[in-house]
Amino acid sequence: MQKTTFKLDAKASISLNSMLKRQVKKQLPLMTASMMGMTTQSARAVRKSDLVSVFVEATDAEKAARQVKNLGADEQLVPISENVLAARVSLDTVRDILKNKNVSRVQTKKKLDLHLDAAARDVGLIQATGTRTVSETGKGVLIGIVDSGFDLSHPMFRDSSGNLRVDGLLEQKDDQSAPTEYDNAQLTTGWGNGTNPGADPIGHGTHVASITGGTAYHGFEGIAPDARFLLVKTNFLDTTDGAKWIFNKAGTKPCVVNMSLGGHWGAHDGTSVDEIALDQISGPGKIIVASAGNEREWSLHVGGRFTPGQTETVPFTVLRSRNVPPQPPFAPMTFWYQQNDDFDISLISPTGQVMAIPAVGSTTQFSLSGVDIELSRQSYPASSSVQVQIVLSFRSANVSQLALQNWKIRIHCNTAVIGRIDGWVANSGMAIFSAHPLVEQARTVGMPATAKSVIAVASHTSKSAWNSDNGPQNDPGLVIGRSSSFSSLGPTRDGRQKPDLSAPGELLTAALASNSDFASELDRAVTADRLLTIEGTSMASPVVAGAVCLFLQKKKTLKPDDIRSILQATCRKDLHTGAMSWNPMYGYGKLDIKSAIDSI
Amino acid sequence: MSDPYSRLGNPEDVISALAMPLEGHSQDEIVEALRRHDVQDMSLLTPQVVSVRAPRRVLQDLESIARVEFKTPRSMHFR
Repeated sequence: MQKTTFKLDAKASISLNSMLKRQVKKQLPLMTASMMGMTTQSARAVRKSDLVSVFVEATDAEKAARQVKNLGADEQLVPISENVLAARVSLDTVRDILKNKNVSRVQTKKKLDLHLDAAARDVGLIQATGTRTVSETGKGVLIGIVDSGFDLSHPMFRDSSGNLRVDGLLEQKDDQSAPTEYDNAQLTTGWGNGTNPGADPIGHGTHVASITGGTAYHGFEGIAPDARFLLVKTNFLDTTDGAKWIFNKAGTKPCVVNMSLGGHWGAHDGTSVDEIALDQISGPGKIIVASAGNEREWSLHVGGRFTPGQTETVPFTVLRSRNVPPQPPFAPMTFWYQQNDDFDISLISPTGQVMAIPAVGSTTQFSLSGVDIELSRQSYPASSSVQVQIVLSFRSANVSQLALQNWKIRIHCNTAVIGRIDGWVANSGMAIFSAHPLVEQARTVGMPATAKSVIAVASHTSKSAWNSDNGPQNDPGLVIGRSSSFSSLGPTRDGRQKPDLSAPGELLTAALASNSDFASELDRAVTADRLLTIEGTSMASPVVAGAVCLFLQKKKTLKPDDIRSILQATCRKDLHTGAMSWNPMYGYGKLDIKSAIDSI
Repeated sequence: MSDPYSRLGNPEDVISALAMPLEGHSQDEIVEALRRHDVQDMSLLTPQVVSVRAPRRVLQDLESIARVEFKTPRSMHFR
C-alpha cells in the first residue's frame, strides 16, 4: 500500500487543506469542488485556472491584497473589512497568500443555508435532493396569521403571476378604534399606490407568515406555498378577536391560525376566558397553533411546594422600559394557589416597608416614593384557585437603579393541602426574580399556548450559520438539534403536557419586511435580497402551522385533538429528545411532516 | 394606576375585556347589561364569550353576572 503524507498549513482551514491536497493528487471530485465553492468545468482535471472562494484574515487587509502579485484576469481580492478579504482566486494564489506573513488565516467560503432549507430538511419536508417528500402544498387551505403586520410587496406573498395570495386583511388599531378590513382587490390597490394597508413596521409578521406559506423565492419556499392567507395586523390586545375574524372569513374552508405571541398574566391552566374562547372557536378544520414562549431563561416564574410554617423570600428587580421614548417602569405579577391552601404573601420594598396582600376579595393601594402599588387577592373559581395580583407602577421613567432593585416577595404557608404556589411576571422585560430555589424554568409556557385546544410549539436549532449585510455570520455556540436555550418549558400549572412538540425556530431565514425595524439589523438582514435570519419560538410555531395546513389539505375535518394525536404518534425522537413519550423541552418530540402526513 | 392590570384604577378608563356568563346567567344578559350602560363596542366572540370595550366601572358592575377578564397585551416571541 502506498502512503502519501501532506503537511497541513496551519493558517488554512481544514477544508482548504483538503482542497490543496486533492489538487496535488488531482483527485478533486466534482461534488466536493462544487460544495467548496469552486468553479469546475471538469472535476477530473482541476487546472490552475480553477477558482476557489475564500476569506482571508490579515492584520491589514488592504496591504495583504496589494502584496498578492500576478493575479489572473478572473481572480479577485476585495477587502470587506479592516482585517478580512473576500477572494476568488486559484489554488496557486491561495498558496502565495498563505506564505504572506501579514495573513493569519484563510478559510474556504461555505455554501450557507441561506433559506429555510435547513428547517425544511429538519422536519422531513425536503429530501437531500431538494424535492418535497409529500404532495400536499396547502392548496385549498387558508393560513391565518395574527401578528405585527405584513409587507405584501414581498414576492413571497405573490403567486407566479405576481398576484397577491391574500384573501383578506384586518388591521386592528392601537387606539382600539374599529378595525379596518381589506379584501384582495383593496390590498392589491393599496400595495400598488403606496398606502400599504397592514404594513409591518417591526418585521415580525412578515417573517412568520412567509415561513408558513411563502411562495418560492431565492431558493426558499414556505411549508405550504399553495395555501392562501387571511392576515390580522394586531394591536396585541385583541388577538383572540383576530383569530375569530380569520375563522369567520374562512367559512367552511379548512384554516390554521398561527399566533407567535403570548403573555403570562393568568392562571396558566387553560381556564382563562381568553383560552376558553380559543377552545370554542377551534374545531373540525379550524386549528390554532401558538409559540410556547421564549421565557426559559427570563427568571419570570417562581413556583414550588410548601409545607405549613415554611417561609421563603424571593428578591426581584424591576426592569427599565425598552420603549423609545422610555416609559415609567411597570411590573405586574400574579401568584396562584389552590383554594384549600392558605398563604400569607407580602411585598417588601427596597427600604424594607412590608405590604401584606389583603384577604380574598380585597384590594389595597400603597403610594411610596416614586411608585404606586396595588395588591389584591381574588377567588378564581374556574380552577378552584386563589389569585394574588401585585402591580408596581413607577411614576417616572427617570428612576434610580436603587429604587428598582432589591424588592422582595415573602411567602409564608399556613395551610398546605397541596401546598403549591406559582407566580409569573406578566411578561418578559418587566421584572426578573433573583437567584432562589423557587425560581423555576419549568412552567414557563405562556398563554395562549397553555389553552387546551391550542397546539403549543417549542424551538430547537436547525442552523447555526447565515448570511447578512455584514457578511457571513455564525454562532458557534449553537448545537444543531438541541433545544433552544430560550424555549419555554412545560408543563402547565395544572400539569398538562405543553409544549406539544418542537420545531426549528433557531435561525430561520425568511422574508424581510422592507423599512422595518429588522431591516436595520445588519447582522441579520440581507436587505437587497429581502431576507432575514432570526430566532424564537415565534419562528418554530409557523413551521408547525404550515405543517397543519398540509394535514388539513389531506383531511379537512381534523380537530385539535386529532392533530395532537397525529403529532404524538409521529414526532421524531433523537439523542436530544430522548425516548420518553413527552418531555418539557420538546413535548412529544420533533415535527416530522412526512411521517405525520403518511399517518393521516 | 395603569390599566388593564389595576382593579382600582380610574372608573372611567375604557378597558378591553372578555366576559363570560357565570353559572345561571347567559350571554344575552351580558349583552343586555352592557346595552343598559350604552356600551356599543362589543362583539360576540363565541356563543358564550363577549369581547367588549367599556369603562372600568361598567365592567366591574358586570362581575355580578359574568367572569370579566381584562385583555392584557401579548408580546412577540422573537429574541
